[in-house]
Amino acid sequence: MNKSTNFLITSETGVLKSVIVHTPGAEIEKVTPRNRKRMLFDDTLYFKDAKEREDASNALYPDVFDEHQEFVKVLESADVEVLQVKNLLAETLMQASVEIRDNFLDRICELDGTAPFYRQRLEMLYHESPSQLAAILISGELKDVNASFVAHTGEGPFDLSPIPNMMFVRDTAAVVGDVLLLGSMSHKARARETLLMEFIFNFHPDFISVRVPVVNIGKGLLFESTGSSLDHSFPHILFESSSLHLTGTGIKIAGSDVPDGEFALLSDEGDVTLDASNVHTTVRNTLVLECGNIIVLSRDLILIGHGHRANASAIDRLAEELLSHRKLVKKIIIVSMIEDKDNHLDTFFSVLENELCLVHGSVIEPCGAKIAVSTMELLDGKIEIKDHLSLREALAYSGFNPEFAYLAGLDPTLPMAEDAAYKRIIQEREWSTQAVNVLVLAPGKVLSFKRNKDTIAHLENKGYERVTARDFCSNPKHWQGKKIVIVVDDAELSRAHGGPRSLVLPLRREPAK
Amino acid sequence: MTAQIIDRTDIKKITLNVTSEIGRLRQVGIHYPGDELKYMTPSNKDALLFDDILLADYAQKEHEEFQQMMEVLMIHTYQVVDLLGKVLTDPPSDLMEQVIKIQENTEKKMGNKWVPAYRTCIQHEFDNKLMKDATMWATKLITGICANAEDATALKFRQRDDPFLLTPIPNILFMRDPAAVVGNNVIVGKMTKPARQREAYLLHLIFNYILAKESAASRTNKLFDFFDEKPENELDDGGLENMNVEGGDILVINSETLAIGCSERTTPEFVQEAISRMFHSATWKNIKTIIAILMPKQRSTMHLDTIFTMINKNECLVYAPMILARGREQVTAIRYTVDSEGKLNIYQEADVVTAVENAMRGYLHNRAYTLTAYPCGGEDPIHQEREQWNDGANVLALAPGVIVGYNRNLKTFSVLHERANYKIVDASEIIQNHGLSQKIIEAMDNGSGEKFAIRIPGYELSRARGGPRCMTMPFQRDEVHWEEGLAS
Repeated sequence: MNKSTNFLITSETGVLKSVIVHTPGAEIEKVTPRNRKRMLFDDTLYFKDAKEREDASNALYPDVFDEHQEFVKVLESADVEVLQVKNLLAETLMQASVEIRDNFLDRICELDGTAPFYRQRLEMLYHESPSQLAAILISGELKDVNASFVAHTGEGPFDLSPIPNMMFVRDTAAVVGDVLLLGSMSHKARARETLLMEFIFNFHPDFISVRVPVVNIGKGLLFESTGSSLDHSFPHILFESSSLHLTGTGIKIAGSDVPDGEFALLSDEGDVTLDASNVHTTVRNTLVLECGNIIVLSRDLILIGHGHRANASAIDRLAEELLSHRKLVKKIIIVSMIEDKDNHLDTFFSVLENELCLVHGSVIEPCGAKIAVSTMELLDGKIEIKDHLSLREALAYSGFNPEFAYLAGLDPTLPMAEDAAYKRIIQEREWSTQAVNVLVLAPGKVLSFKRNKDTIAHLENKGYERVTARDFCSNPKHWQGKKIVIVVDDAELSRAHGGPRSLVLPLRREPAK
Repeated sequence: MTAQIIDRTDIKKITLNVTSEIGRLRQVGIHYPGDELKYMTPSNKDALLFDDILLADYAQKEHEEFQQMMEVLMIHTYQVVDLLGKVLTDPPSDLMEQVIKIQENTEKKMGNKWVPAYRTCIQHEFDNKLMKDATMWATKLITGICANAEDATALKFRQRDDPFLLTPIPNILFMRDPAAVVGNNVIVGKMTKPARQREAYLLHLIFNYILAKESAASRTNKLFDFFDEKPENELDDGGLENMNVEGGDILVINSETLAIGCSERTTPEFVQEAISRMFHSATWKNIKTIIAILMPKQRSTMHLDTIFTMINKNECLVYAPMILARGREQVTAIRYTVDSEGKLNIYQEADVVTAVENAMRGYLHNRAYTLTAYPCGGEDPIHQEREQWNDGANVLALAPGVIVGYNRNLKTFSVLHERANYKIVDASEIIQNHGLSQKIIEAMDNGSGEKFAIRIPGYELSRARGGPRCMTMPFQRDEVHWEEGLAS
């Protein structure tokens, strides 16, 4: 982490400088046909274990790890700083005080309902190797089938469940302006992801030193430092996750940049006395916001998807925070997904360059049954909501008048062709393989899954050049000033139904020109 | 080597003879996946029995590698669309009538509306021009037809989950299921899922055509074909309606023994009928033993060949929890045998492997015979489950001890390599390396004793929940010399 700069995201397209990713590991191997639905996977992914990876004869067939490595290589070739969740987690574990670490591990165990002995195992792992502990907090751990009857019968094979969706790190958090929003997941299978990110953002030495303001969406009330011995300029630390609500604890913060000290947590019940023994939790999950639903259009304007993965209470809370409290943005456009509630907005809408967006045709024109569009803005110090005819209109109302490129090239403004039914099939297929969910490295530099051929062909018609990841990495400078779609192999990545944008959490982009 | 699809359309050259799961493969029916894959979407994939959507050209590339590898190993591959094209040069007069009837039936069973206008629309699409081109006609019968935005069904095409006038049949990729060759005879499937019914009808046409073109001294018969079976009276069809059978559930253990899975796709009523015909029907007279395997009705183990395949004379690959004794989800195996006096004996067997061993001992006149089972996915239950799901147990034997599986089932390959001394080779290597292919042909033809486990890529194909055995319908295998090389 480059310590001299803060987090800053004021557009979707400014030159990407620093990101967090998670290269999938052993957690992938623990998804089975039986547990895949619970793990939110449609299918199992091909993954080689360490021994198989070493075996040269297996090199012919890349697995999901290899594909992700190629993806990361593209980012690095574009001079993006790539931080791995696993490393950040290990570094945070090493730096955190005993109390903070204890509390963190306790919460992981409580969230997962692990057996008491397993808490000790985590402690032991920490002393052996913090980086191994970090890996296991993501990959989970299997029970011994010969020692545990519940594992023997196949009913509960895990001591600690894996979190295979960690690779979609986009959903766990988002930077808006210079503020970090911690998401709150809709499914329990993903709850630990935000817990890990929260721990990292609050206690990683590099992040403490840049004093990131953290807003935790899962939290009903915003915490403000209350004049404890804690440094005042280190605000808004909350210990909370989507499904577990910690109502009180005593925490000491140790670290080079933050003096040891105590601070209070506000809960829904009010102030809680600091007392390490007074730790109790209640299950709660009223605010849901997965950050794939947040699109930062400009310094003043954000777009939020509303559905199962971002509920209305969370959007109210976010509006209050960003519009009223922090005056961070001037307007929020909300797209309610009526038909496909269980998706993120970034599967329907993305920005490719200053004046060009890539969209699913059906979300941009008058809404019909598919979506509803509203805006929230501050008028005379009060939030006001306005409904709109279409997303196009709402964007124009907010001073944003881009051109559009369309998913599978299906332009809704053109008259229906004879083969419209077939075109719509292609559109639905590429939508599900994340053709819209592209990652923008710089204006007009787009990273896409290779299989979305019709959408890529449409972009080629719009002046983009298709470049393979290998060609790009071999000479990244060659493409300077050109509009390109860099295509990455996706045989396994695409099975998990998250696209390039979902795989990356941007921390910093250069301000767009 | 450049991609090349070898055109084999000479039906007269087809020989039907399959008396084992492992005899050296000579002729095999396959389906090169086509545009029907492009019609699959997240909203219709479940109705079309797919878990995920496949990218057609990636799947085609993988399938081509599989097919080319077989051709290099001197196995003749026949494309179903070519065979169908032949049939359509001289089609039965009621063909389209039947196709439309099946479509109507399918739509109704899937809970979709059916109006007479659709019939007219299908007839309109299959106009004289299209039907003059047999290849095009055959292709469209498989890819299906999307409703046209401009015709009378304009509203139908707006339906996201079902914009089809004629539903695509992407599952025909799994050629194993709509029919099976048993000995010199044929079973035409009666598919459980409405989405697959047209497949069986097309195979019914193909086999009728093959049978009609055979020389006068034709030896081939139908063991079962729902499209031929005529109930004796209208009210009581003798349970015919319930006799579902798919080829993935039929394993030809030897020339006298079948193992049949009672699964999600094959009903006990069919197995009952097969046992009864074993006695009473002249065409079934070669079959002396049927092992009925009672499986749970679930998608992950939809056919018997997803949990059990023969890979060598005395080796099999299994999903251990279901097949092996003391398995957590062990299935029941019952062996029905006609003895030399014509009496039926029924044995409740300890497990599937024991049942096959007993049947083999009977077949080999009480010679010693043991069958070694290798667990797909190794010993770890998690990997057993993962690799079974990706068809780790659904391998195709090209000859005794020469098998084909998906590359992604690494743990299964490692079991075969470490415990059973299989040499692991990639299909691409066989295609490129003449020395290697000759060595494998030598092992296949002359039984050099060397064993090979061949990997084919399955990034796309495996998404469709079917492995190399599912994708092939053997027409002809050499006889197995069982006595040679068996441990006694």
